[in-house]
Amino acid sequence: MTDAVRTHAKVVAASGSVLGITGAFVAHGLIFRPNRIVNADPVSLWSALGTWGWVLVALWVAAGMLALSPLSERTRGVLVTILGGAAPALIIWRCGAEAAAYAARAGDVARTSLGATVWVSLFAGYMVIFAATAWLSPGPLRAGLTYAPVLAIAALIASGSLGELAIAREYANNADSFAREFRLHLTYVAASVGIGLVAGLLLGLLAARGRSLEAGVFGVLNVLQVLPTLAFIGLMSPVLASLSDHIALFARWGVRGVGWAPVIIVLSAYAVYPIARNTHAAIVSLDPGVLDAAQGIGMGKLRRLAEIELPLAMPVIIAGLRIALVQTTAGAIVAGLVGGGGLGTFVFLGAGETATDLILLGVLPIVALALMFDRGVLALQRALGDRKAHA
Amino acid sequence: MIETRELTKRYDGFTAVDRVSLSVAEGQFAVLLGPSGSGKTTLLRMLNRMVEPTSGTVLVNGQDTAGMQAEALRRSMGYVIQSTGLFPNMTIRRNVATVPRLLGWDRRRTDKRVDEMLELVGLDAKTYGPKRPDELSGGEAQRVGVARALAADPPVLLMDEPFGAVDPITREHLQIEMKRIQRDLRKTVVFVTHDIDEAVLLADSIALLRNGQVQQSGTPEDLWRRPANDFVRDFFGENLGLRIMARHCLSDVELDALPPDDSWHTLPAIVHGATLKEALAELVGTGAERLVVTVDGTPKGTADFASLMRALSAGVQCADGVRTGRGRDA
Repeated sequence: MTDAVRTHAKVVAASGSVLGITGAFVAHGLIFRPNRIVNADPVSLWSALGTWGWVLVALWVAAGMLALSPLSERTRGVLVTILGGAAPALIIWRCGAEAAAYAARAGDVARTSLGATVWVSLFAGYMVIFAATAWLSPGPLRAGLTYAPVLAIAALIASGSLGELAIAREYANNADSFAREFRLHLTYVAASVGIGLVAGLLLGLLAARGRSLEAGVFGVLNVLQVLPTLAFIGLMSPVLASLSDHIALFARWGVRGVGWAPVIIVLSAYAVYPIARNTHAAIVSLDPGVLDAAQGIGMGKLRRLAEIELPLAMPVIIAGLRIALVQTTAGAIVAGLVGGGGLGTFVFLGAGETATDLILLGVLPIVALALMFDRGVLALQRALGDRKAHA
Repeated sequence: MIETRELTKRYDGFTAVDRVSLSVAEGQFAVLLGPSGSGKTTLLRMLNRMVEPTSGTVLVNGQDTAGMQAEALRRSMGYVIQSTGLFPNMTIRRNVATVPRLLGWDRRRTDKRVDEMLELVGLDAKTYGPKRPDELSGGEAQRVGVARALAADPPVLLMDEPFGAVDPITREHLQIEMKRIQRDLRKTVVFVTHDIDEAVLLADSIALLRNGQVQQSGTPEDLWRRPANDFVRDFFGENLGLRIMARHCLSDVELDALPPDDSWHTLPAIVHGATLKEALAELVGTGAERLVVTVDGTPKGTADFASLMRALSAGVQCADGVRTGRGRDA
């Protein structure tokens, strides 16, 4: 960590705290509605949470001031990380409690929706934690402090104390289909990234064999990459429909102009690109001396690939895999639009009904999945890097 | 052992190697010497078919290599390059074990061999074995490169400017050790360099190349005394004589007996491992007519200018391991 980064972290953490304070006072924190369809004016978190609203503001102020304080880096990092996590956790906890109180007053059809400033506050918390962890060295302490608020919110969800929030009510009404669409979404991601990985590796290796092959491979992939998703599906739709009309096997598999088939094709095509790019970039930048020596002492082509080229290229290829995973997790929303199901179903259903909370029921798990994949693969990448550096 | 016949490599309109016919006898240290762009590396790379010749043949033990499987041919020739080419994703042990693994040796034999090879190049197997290439200095990495090349005991070793990237002091150590290893193991070595000192120090025979053609090949003494053309003479320059003298040691000189009287006590003393260049410097420096040559501190005889010159024209070279690189007796 350079000195510049450590100084910039102060600015980022203080900005996060200012964002949090602003978010507490802007009147879009909670929306209390007599029923699911009626609109109502949102109120700010500060006014909705009563005394806790003051506590919230105090947490943000303390986080900002400590971030700018001359305390030792370690102390500063620990305290600011804790405060940056405590504020969002407090918001979620108290919003759940307020929702329960409103439901008790206004009856079972009443809904309490989370407003924009709740999400802004979560982002503000992320900013503060992201900045404050720059002052801590990697290790269990830093990881624990970073993920504590995530665990706290997960515990709140598990305890049922958020059950009266509108999004939780939407979940309760759709629990069966949610589980199904969640699994389907994951299946789309796994299948597409799986296909993308195999195809991307092969195309990346192919492109690394020569200039003209490189131009050919990336010429095609670039076009696929800039083609808008829906246009892509629209173009494929008649082709798939006619394939299914003429080939019995395709019909039996349920290949149609809409549904799972175009979704997997499109998502795979998008997933290929980052993996092929990174594979190509990693292979062409290998030390020519190493490859020369491998050939010169009598290693065959396949052995060079398996024992030298791929292991050396692996960290960069995995970085490509990470991009593909995150991108596909978000991209699979489109399946909801073309009859393929998945979490996008809730997004487009909610958009049709102007039921924001139903949209969130689709979006939040996607964001959570994307973050999880991102962190998980990054950890894998680091583990591989470490092994190379020290073993 | 290795023979090339009219070996030629052309790249669109440019001839890198032009009808080269050379032969290297078994156990010989052959140096391909020349300025950059002279085709020496291309010539070397045709020997193990890293480069396929445009025309001409390479024979190894009388067999045309064009008919052999390229991988099998390469495994029978150790290969050392300037950038070492150690595999950064493998430990030193695994690097050295590469060719034995390719040849399917069993684990015990491979392990034992790796220990021996690291020992041979002067690296402690326990300390260096588990390290990664990026933890080594340039000289250490180059030693590992040599160990890896020798691991499967190939009769031939191909080396492309192996010591070009290390500092001068380390380079000299590596050169002297390389010569020792080559003699001890009786390997046939083909060694590419543009460094005249290195060539003269190491070579049993030198082929001097220019524009893909061999200008002259022979012992360094041949090239010195009977240069084939002006290019050869100019390339080696005026210091070649002294460089040649550094190849020879007093141990090769026929000594005159110590005079029966005690007159030799006043003569300067020098160890028999000293080079003729050092002996000459001693004669010139002290102004004495003769030197007393000692073996392990005991005077064995005397040498004068004429006896040095006789040793030089006889063309013999220092016996194994005698050369000390230091002149005066302690």
